[in-house]
Amino acid sequence: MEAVDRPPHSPSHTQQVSTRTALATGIGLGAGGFLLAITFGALAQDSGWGPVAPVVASALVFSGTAQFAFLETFDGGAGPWAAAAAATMVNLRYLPMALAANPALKGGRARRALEAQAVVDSSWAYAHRGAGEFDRRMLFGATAPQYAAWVGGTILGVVVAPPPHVQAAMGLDVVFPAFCVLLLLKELTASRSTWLPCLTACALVATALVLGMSPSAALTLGCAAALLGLVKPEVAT
Amino acid sequence: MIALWYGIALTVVTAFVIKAAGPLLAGDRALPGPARHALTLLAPVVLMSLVVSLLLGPDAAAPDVPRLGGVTAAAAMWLYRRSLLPSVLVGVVCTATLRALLP
Repeated sequence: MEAVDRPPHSPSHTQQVSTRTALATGIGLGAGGFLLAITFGALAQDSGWGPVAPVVASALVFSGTAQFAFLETFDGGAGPWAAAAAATMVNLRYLPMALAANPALKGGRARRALEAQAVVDSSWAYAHRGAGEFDRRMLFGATAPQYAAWVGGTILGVVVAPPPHVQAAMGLDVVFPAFCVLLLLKELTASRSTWLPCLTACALVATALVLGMSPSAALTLGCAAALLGLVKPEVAT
Repeated sequence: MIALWYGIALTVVTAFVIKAAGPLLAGDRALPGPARHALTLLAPVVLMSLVVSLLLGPDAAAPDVPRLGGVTAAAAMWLYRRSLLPSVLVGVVCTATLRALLP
């Protein structure tokens, strides 16, 4: 699942990690995803999704930020189209990431399209060896345990599903906002070109909420700040 | 309930297509610079919008103080250690503690 841990060290350009190392990396990364998945399963169950829908979503969408964005938007009263749109916008970052990892994928276009499903934030970051090269074994080996942890955590969350007041007392409602903040910090510290669009989005969303707009409408408005990338592409890093 | 399943199905399709689109259509070609930059910016912008929306919520005049404290503690921990799980755990403990202490 998405994680913000940085690779402690990167192998050289010619050296490929062992399968065991890749799997161990994925297990470590999966621990954070497991906690997040429990929260997702429990929140979805409390929102009346039933026991099947959260597990199906985790098994087939396999994106924490997208699933939580869907959950928050859908539960906020928006329709399925708006909720899916919010999830899709969050997931759009995978388009350039999958493109970048394309040289590490094998086979024809159809097989590459299937293999690209292994691209998730943390595996992508760990598999990146610099200079646009990716470690294929790390990409798949680190993703597999995270997938199992994500689906398993969702099932556990659905089964246990503590009531909302118990979740609040335990502080579990902070897991998703904290996760988003950590991902955001990763983006902000990686490139200064993200600062102006993010500040613009912050101002737009805060103003919209203070003026009484719904959270889903405010979210959509804030996303327009990404259009600054079309106006000032020269600041791209 | 049927609306939920429509939404999930749509999200599943878009999630697959987004990752598959590059290898399927672009091959070895890269996107034009401005388009690639706008797409790259979309993730942090959406995250920022989500964060503000989640923390202020529908009642922007009365934000959840323990949750704000927990998120701040998690962010501080991440800036110190750059590690996900401990940072989130610090945020959870901080939120639970503030809820227990604050009236």
